[in-house]
Amino acid sequence: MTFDKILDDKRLWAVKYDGEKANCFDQLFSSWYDMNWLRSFFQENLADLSSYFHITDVYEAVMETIDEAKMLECVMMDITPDANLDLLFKHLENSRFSEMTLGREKAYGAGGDRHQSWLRIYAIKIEPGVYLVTGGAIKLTATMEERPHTMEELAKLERVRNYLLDNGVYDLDGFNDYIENEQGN
Amino acid sequence: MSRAIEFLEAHQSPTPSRWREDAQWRRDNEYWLKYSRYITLQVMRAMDEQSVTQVELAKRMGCTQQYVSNLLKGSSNMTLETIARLENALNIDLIKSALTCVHGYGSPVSSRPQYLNESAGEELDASIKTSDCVDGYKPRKKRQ
Repeated sequence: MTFDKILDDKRLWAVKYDGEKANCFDQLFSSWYDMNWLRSFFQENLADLSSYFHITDVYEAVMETIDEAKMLECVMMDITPDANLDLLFKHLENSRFSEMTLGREKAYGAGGDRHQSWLRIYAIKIEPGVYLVTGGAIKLTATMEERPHTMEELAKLERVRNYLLDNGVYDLDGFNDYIENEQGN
Repeated sequence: MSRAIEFLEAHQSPTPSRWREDAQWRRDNEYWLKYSRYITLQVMRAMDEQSVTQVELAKRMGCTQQYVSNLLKGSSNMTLETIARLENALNIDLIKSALTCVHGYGSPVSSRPQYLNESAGEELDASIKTSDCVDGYKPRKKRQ
């Protein structure tokens, strides 16, 4: 895997996986604006859309996704050098309240009037205020383990995290904290 | 520079991200992209209702499936000819319905926004809210 700089100030990066034409961040927004891709996705996941969000019209979901993508993209585009990315990304695990080395994080879309956004950007926190995006998803279920496409995102987070650990991209004190945290779970 | 950022820089891909350029393009062209999306939506609904596949639509339009696939992404700057071909292929009206849409899709003619109803040369109502317009597009005042 290689990496692309998303923000010029080197605070946001994205993974470019082997064999892919573009990095995962570019691909995410391409997909979220692609009506054909969105239609297929929501047709395949209509049961979740209906059960969790009470939306039965695939095209309503398509248009809502584009609106949410626009809002999220605006936020990303308008990040100033002073902006704190730690406010944009939250811990992936809702039960985790402490920092850990190369922690798994997520950013949400803004959402609409009717429901919380289903857009997610997943990232590894490289260091305070610096993030490496590993992928993203339209999350329609309560947990990521419930569906293959979100499971795949969990796997990507783990694969990238392990790659960084294998290459020594962490500080030892933080890593010890991580071990303690893992042992405590 | 931290060790982590040094590592990422040393392992950058040879092709830099195009996201910012693409995002800027989307932002700059939103004023017509919303119509492209609306037309695409109507086409997709008609395809579903008539059980028309992309292959069949391409055949009816006399173009390739790849061309249809690109159209259905919803970001194509379609010519009038393309729109007319879609109308003929699916026996639907696109232009008239696009002009009467509000909030991007599916609203009745009676809720047509003010800026689409006014007569030529008339100044736009400054009280029009962004939310009243298609996908939040705020119309500019016409030149006197």
